[in-house]
Amino acid sequence: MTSGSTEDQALLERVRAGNEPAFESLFQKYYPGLLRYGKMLLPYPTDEAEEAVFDVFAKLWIQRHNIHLHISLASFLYKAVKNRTHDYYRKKNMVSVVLVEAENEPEQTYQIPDQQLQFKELTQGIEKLIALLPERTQMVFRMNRYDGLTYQEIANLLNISVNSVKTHMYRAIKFLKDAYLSARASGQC
Amino acid sequence: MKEQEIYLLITRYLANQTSTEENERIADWIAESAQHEQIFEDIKLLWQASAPKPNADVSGAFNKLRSKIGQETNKPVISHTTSRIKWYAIAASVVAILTFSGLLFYHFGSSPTSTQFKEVVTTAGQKKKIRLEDGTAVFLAPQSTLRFPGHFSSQRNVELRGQAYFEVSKNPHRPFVVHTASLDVQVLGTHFNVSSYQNQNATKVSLLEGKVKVTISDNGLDEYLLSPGQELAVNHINHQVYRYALDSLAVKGWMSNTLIFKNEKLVEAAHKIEQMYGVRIVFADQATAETNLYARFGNEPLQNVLETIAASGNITYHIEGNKIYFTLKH
Repeated sequence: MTSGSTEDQALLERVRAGNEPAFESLFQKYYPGLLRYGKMLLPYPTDEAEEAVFDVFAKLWIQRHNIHLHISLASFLYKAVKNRTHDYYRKKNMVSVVLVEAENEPEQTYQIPDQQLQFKELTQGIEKLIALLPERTQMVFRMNRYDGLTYQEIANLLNISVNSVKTHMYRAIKFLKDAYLSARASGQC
Repeated sequence: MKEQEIYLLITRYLANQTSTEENERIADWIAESAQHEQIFEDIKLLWQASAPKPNADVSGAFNKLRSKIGQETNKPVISHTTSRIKWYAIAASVVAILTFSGLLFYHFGSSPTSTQFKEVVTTAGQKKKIRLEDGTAVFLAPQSTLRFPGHFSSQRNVELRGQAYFEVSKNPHRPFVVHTASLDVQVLGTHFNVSSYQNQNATKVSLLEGKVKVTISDNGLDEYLLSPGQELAVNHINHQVYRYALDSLAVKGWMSNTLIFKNEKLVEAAHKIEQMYGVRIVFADQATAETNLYARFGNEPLQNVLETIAASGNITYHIEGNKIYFTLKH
């Protein structure tokens, strides 16, 4: 049980009782991550990702009395977005290319040269550093850090192995730790 | 341990995703060397620095979501009267909810923008008077919390845990709504008391002046209009709703430190004494707790209250620090 999910359960309890501020809190917490995930699943510039996330939250509100979760709320919401995007592909008679992406290890060649850490952008803080990571690594890191999803849950949502998730996480942390520290040391972060 | 393994163990620990055994492993590993401890501290620093930042775009997105829900709930398929009524109630508070966006930051506890949303908390023995920006006066009882937005919009929403007495400034165009865990009270301009302590088995709304509409949150359907002099109680155990004439002295007593017990069980009286005097009361046994009490205390020192209870109920008491022990005389 993570602290995040304890907080979520308290919020969800209030949502069930019809408390709108609690509902908005959940929305605020998960909207950015779910939207990012939805956009990854829907490769075209489109509003569909936003629509998918709205659908999920609308359903959560309308059916709040009937929702009994056996998994974490974060995992539930991400799965729901995944299902929505499947529906989208089904409607368009398309094959969901992203979702059947073959298992692959994170790029081995990925390196950040030291001098890059001296970039002025570092003054913008850690968000800039995260943005320097490969897209898939960013996704894994944010799902874990921001939304408290476990490695297993992330693996299922991205259709990759738990080992791949671990590799992404390790690389993200190692890079961010070193970059953040050196940026702080030079007074830039 | 491999570097990857320990890095991930530390982050899972920071994310509260580790087991007790894993926590011990981390502690052992850190204790091994100063270098290990430094790595732990560095990762912790990074982890804390990368906490999610509030996103300015999200409020706009929430408005879109709200209008979408509005459309969906109006589709015939799901237009049970229940969901409709409920939704209209929400739609009416659309603008006000925006001001609650500070709540998110409050939950994350990591943002300076939480000033948007204010919270006043009282401890045992403490009372506070709050003047809201619309002129409404709120008297907050001990061990209670009131949350309210820095600025009210079209609807004036506040959230209450515990007990408070409200003197709401009249404004028919901006309904004032008190949200509690089990019911909502909507008012147009009135004096009333709401008591929703979690350790008491009923939430009570007592109306002294004006008019209020009480909506029970359990089902969102039951609405009660109260007239002045009426009290409504929702029992959390049997979910029954009771309406009866109130005793205004008993309702407002807490504001003037007046305690009124009319044939109340000592265990129930104890809650009020604890709140007012900031003490803990312990009963020797069930029989002591169930002794009935008929008494009235007007702003009296705790000592007098205890003496009177002891005299009237064949009870002895002794004090140890902050605790008061009641025992039946044998």
